[in-house]
Amino acid sequence: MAALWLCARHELLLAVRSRWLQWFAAVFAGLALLVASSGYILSGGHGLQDFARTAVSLVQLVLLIVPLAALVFGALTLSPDRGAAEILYAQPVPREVILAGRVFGLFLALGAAQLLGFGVAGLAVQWSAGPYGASQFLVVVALSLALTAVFVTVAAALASGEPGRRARTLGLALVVWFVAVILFDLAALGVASLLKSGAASRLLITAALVNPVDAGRTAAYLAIEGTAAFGGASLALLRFTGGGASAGAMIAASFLVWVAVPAWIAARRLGRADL
Amino acid sequence: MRGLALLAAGLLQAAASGAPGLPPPGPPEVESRGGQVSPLQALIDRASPGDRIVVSEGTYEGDLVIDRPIALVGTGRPLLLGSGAGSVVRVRAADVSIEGFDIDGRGGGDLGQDTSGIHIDAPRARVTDCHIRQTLFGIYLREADGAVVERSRINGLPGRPPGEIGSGIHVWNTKGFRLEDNLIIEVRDGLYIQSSPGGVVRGNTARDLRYGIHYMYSDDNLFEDNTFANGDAGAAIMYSRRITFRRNRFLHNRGFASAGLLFKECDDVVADDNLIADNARGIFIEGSYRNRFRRNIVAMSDMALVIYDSSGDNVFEGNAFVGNLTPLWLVGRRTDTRFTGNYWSDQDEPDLDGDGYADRPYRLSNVFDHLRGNMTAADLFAQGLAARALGAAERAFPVLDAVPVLDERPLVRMPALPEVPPLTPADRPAAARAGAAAWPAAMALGGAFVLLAGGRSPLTRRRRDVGRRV
Amino acid sequence: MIQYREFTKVFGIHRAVDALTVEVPAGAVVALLGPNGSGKTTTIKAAAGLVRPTSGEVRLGAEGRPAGDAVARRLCSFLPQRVSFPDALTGREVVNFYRRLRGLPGEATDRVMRFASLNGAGNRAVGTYSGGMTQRLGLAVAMLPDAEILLLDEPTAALDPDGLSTFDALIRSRRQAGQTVFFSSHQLGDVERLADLIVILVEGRLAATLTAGELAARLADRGVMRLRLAHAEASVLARVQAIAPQAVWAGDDLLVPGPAAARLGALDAVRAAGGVVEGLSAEEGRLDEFYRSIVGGAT
Repeated sequence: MAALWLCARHELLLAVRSRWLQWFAAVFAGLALLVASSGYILSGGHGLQDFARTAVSLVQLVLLIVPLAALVFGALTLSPDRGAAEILYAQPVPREVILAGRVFGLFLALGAAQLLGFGVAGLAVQWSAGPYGASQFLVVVALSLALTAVFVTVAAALASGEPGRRARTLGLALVVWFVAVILFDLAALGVASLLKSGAASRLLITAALVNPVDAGRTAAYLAIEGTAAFGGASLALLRFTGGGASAGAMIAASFLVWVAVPAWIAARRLGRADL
Repeated sequence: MRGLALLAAGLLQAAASGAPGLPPPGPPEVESRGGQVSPLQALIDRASPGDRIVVSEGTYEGDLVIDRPIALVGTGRPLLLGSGAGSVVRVRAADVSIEGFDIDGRGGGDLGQDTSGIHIDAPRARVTDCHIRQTLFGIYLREADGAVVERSRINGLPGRPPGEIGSGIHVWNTKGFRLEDNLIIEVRDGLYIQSSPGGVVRGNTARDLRYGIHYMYSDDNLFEDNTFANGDAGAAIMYSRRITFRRNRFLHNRGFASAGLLFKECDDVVADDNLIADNARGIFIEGSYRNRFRRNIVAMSDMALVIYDSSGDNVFEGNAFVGNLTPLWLVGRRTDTRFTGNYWSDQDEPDLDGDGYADRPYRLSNVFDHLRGNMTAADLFAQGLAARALGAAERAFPVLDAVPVLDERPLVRMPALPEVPPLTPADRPAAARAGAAAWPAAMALGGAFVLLAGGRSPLTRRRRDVGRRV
Repeated sequence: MIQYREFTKVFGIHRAVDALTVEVPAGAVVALLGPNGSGKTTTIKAAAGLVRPTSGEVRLGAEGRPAGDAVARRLCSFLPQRVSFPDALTGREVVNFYRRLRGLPGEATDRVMRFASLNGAGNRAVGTYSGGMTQRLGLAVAMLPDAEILLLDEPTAALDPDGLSTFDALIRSRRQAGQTVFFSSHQLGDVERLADLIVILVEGRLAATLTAGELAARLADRGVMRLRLAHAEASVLARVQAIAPQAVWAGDDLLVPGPAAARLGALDAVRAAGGVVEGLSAEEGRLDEFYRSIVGGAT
């Protein structure tokens, strides 16, 4: 456990000093601020958006940027680099522990950068619009952290192979991102449009729970806006899952599976790799 | 979608409960019903028509009936503390004016008897600068032609369901009334106007309630410069014709199926220069014809417009639709609603000829209308990137949408709309403003702390054996 | 002690190490010698637990724990051929991280930084280091633990002169402390200077296990004596060929291949034939030829 924490802090230190993370923190804060104030800008000076509204707009941002950042950052840093990985994994600490520590450290770094961005945006909104809708805003923060956890572990699963394949891993990470944010949805909608109504609904609801990006969006919108979020589809989803609590549990389970399975794959691949 | 429509229908039905055809209001109370009589009653009983009775500071317990044309004026804000059994002040003579009182109804009375702070059943009454609290209805105008209510405040009964309380200012069968600069909080409907033509409503604020303003069977009305916030609907206009409204603000109606503006079977309405912002639905139109919307801002809604195909000949011209998640939900197959010269913030066509209008029409209709046809659950994906990709594809290859809804001349820049009132931070509901939290600061600091602490190299600071435990 | 038993490692279709059975005895400094691509790195990394055997096994220490076991790695310390560390860290931070991972006390950092002549550069970012300094930092990390077994892959290849002396000092101190050092090299100098025992690996197979003396003798056997004579006379060649049959003329030089022991006799023969020796040099046998000869079976 101590070794895990040590590796986590080491990775956090590296991340904090890397230009990648500094850029990410700055860009994320900037985008969040932009989203928060876009209502103001677009409406020609008719007031900054409040938290609830900001939260809904931020969901879109989070669903795109956070998986991308976690995948790219994870692919870049977790891919074993020959000279560095050899001496690190020759230490008397199990490989899985080192990997878990590094993944956790990366999660901490990305999460902290996101918190910083959300906090800055939150301050701006609160300053000009008051704390109306703060709990919805926190839902987005939770969503962001959950997606970070999922996609950092996915990146770890992709990266935990033989050394010297960073470019390939990075390419793969981008493919995963593209599938998760768009291709999966297109495929689900395409297949569903060929099915009968009931089967189509079941397929789409299942799809919305299985893909972590969709599950995140579904959970966030339901938490922020209630059943109004998707109109009748909300009700269909709740009927299918058996109520709000079990829908929440299913989405949480989906996230957990998306952390556990890639983590298991990463540990297994790294355990078998020749470094 | 069906579920939503049903729910919306239920909402409308509930709203219609005060309509003609349904039971009319109860008979006006003339005698007090076993309640305590105010000590001021003796003064009124002695007064002659045209007298001005000045009441000084103090608490006057009991109810009051004004049965002659007098002016009742409070100085130093005297409090009329009702018996709790009926209306606190009953006006039963024409040309009565009441000014400068605090009125407390003790939360008692009978909804069926229209128990009010001030109940007026006579023409040309004037209520000025009265603060009414703890009453079922605030001020009730019953066949009170030419009544004026101004600069008054009504705080209803917080926490009670709408079915158990009355409206802030209730207008029934009254011609030519005027309601100005009042503040109304926590009632059923802020301003309820039924079967009352020719009224003017100006400069009021109504919030934390069901409907801000609610017209039923009331033609030829005007309302302007009001703010309606944090309810199920900002304005619900039903079964009424030729209503004109401008420069109003409809804000934060965020509940399930809530709308900034709700139109049901009302025709020939003109809406100019209003701000309709941060609502679940911006404008909801069902069974309504020949309404015109000009230079309004519809912003930050989940759906800017919900239009049933039972509507027709409606026109949107020169409005700005800003930051809405979806521009239009068309319920039904097609619409003849005309859109022209509006600004749509997600419109991304260029303006190559520089005339201020995009070179191609803006499509409000969405490919999801087709998918939704047999797949309710498609809405789950409506906010995703895939939906946007499909939308873009649809715009490029319009084969899916046979009858598109278009704005033929979309503006490429947000128009200057100087008449539209702004949204200010002071528009927050009081309840939500309470307890300003420091959490964004805490969050930013937390993130910064983790990053800074991480950057300060904890590795060199603490000495602890790690390897030995492995 | 490191024991390889039938250690075989196959990468794809490439058989990097084939059924290697050898023991690195405790307390010895053992060099792993062989041409490029002969499987030296794979063999060392297998002991460091970085490479998993395709078949066979690699065991460490008296208890014979499998090298892949994290506990077994407590027994050894490994320095890769070309080490790299995060550019953003200072040298001291790098050493501290590994020190804490090993659970060692704080003063160890100062000790190894001094030892590696890096105490002046400890607070500089690794990104500013030269290649030699980086490798010295690797050496510092490798010498952090007082490990029973030190594994070094081509340690001298990337070291600067400072690093080389540090390396020599390290090996000597470990030898004195009775610890095991196993390092690979393809440079004869390192091997002769430092190793007690030499394991020769050619094309993934164990070709020979020799003591340092034996290796020197074997190489000398493949040496050549070159004599520069004042006059190239045929009679000289004939006399020499009687002792060293492979002797030939190369211009004015007489080349006398063969074991060192025969050279004195050949010199005497030249003199006896009236040859005037103006210059003399001896070359030891070249390693690549030596490898070829031992793989060919001719030793």
